[in-house]
Amino acid sequence: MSGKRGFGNFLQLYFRENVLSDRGLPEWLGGALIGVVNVFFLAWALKPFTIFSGYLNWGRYLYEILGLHNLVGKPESFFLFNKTGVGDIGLLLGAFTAAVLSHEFRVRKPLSRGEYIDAILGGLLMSMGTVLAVGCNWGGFFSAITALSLHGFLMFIGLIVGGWLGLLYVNWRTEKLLSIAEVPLALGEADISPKAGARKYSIPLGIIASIAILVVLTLYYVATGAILFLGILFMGFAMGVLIQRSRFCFASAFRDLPRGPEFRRSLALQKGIVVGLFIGVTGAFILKYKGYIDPLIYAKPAGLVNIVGGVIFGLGMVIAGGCASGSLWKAAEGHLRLWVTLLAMVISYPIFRALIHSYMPWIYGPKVFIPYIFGWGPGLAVIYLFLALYFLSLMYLEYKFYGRGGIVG
Amino acid sequence: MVKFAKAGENRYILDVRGYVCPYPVIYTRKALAKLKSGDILEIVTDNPPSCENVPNSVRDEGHEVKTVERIGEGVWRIVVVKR
Repeated sequence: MSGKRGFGNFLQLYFRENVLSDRGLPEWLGGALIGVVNVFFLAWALKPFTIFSGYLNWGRYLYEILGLHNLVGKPESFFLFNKTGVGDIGLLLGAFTAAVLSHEFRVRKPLSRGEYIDAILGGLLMSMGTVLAVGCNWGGFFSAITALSLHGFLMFIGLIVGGWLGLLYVNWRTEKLLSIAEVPLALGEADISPKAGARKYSIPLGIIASIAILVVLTLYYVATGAILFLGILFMGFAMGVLIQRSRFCFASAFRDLPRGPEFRRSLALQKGIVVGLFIGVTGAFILKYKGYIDPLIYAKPAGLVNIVGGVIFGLGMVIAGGCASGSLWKAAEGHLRLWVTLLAMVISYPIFRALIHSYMPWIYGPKVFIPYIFGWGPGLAVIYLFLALYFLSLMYLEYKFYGRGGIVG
Repeated sequence: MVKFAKAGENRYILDVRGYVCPYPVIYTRKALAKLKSGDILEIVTDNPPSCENVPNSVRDEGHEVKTVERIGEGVWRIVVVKR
């Protein structure tokens, strides 16, 4: 008995110090593991890991309930049989579980009306950006590049510009806020005792809740024979744990790249993204080249509009305080403002999408699958070259601003 | 609202609970700019990434990070000395 308890304590301590600590996982490790899950997901689901088409599904449900499905179309599938949506549910559960286990879950209310405005505005911009870039930071960028489709590279350019615009917005907002906050910033009494609302034993309750949901969904998928979705649920769950634990925030990564307040973290995250892309690209290349999956999976339209979409999305994610995955993760962590953002995205995305697809379909370019332009080998070489240059640029920035011994991440 | 208060001799508290990235880092920098060398600033945040980002930024600016401790579910106190 005591031996068993000893092992239990050992395990608990081990995980608390190595996985569930305040520091979390290093960004490069988070990126690498996200890259691995990305490949597994593609092989299993025959589509890359993305986020926003889940919101489309949920939004269409909402409009159907309201009797407005003529506007946006009916839900294309039952929400528990929607690949992207089930991945999103998994991500939400995974991030929630990781947050609870690492004592980071807490219900956080937005502090002012301005924050609700930011949450909604950011969500609307991300929806529009996603429509234009043919995907969010996953479907339009990360998973687009790993699908070897040109549109991911175009959104990347847009995200860099959008992140920088977001930084300008943040700076403007803090200047503006600070002048309002001058009074509270004057000396006064600050109560820092944890609020009574911070219940002590939220952990078992949270864990029981997430296990219960997982068990119910597992039984449901087993009973219906939908093992495909069971796999997707758990891969989404893994993604959620990884993103929460490594704090894999695309908004911070792009916002602070032009020497923003969290520049060090931005560099570390960007390097994590490069590592993840390297693994994801390699895995997808193997699957596609060897003919295990259809090469054209997720080869999407590429044109100038993808860059514009990236700019709008990049600005939106900074204003909202989370990208497509970041909103799910932070909502799961208890930030109510990100629930507002999620709602804004779910409501607006189906509408924006229907409008652009019906009235302006000409804005999209042709589908460009990189190996079909350069050939398989040279295509892969070109993508690797891009990743190498991207990594070297990050290293140069690190060298320039942190100099000798300035190891980031 | 950001709370910035004097808590004792050379000791100040900055409460940025409720703020997400990058605001805790920005307010910490602004608060430190108002203090004298040797003053102690306690930052209270409930944004998980900030318990890494605030100490990083403080160190990058040449100040000293004394402690980072979790004082409740999802709340951290970061004690910093201005240099």
